[in-house]
Amino acid sequence: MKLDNLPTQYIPFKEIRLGSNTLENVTVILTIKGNVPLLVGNGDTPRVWLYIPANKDGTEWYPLIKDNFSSNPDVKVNVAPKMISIRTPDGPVFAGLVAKEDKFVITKLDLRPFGLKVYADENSLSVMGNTLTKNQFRNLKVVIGID
Amino acid sequence: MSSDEPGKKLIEGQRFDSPLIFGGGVDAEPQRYIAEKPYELTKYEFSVLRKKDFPDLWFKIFMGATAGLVIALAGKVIISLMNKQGPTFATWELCSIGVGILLSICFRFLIKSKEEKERIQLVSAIDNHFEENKPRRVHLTKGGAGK
Repeated sequence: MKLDNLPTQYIPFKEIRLGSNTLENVTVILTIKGNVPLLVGNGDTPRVWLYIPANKDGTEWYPLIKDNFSSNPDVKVNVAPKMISIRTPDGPVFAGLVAKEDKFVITKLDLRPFGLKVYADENSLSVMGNTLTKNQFRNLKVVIGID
Repeated sequence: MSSDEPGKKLIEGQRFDSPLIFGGGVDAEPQRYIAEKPYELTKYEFSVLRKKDFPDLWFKIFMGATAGLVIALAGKVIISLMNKQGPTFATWELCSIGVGILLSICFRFLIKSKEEKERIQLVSAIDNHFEENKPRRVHLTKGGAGK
């Protein structure tokens, strides 16, 4: 999924908390060579899109979850009005809950099963070995870019 | 979580109004999660798949009516047996079942609407796509070779 071609149904949360970092008014959390692997959107329930790399160059991407629908029978998306989680045979890769109407807290993120060195718990976010804690990101289209 | 790796940073308590860029890329191909190349469905194709099929509707109507008649006759047989009498059927009852079965077969297998023919053609095209684009790598099975 390219940054300039996001799904029309995607409505970003006004605030996201990720590994004790606050993201305010941001469009996407992460891009990898211009591709967006993860989108967390607002709606009647939280909505997730997850694209994973299909080759090592990061030029081909595979839609693993499209608007909470998993294209792999081993990957399960559990959705409730205020929370969402994604389980894979490698364990949980994403969990989060709606804290306020427009605030989402990501309690777990682990993209390592998909070959991406990105993971977070409630205290910190690790991207390519760098650790981010208690930072603030505001009014951005992209929070973190990997190039 | 720590950033003890050499050359990696701990970023804490900062404010950002521009994206953070890190070097890196895809670590490994997530083989087990990647299935076949997705079929790119156009809006028109989607509408073909969604169209209701009239012969199928008539098949369900005739099949339902015939099943209803058979159940009614079964009831009649049970009552007769309870009264220790041989069951008797009117000619129209047996004829109706025969005609119902015949019409059901016609609408199920012989009569195909233009929409149904188009749908079958599209399903076959999608089927061919997945035949020609077998899974690119080992995939999908729990504890599979992809890990």
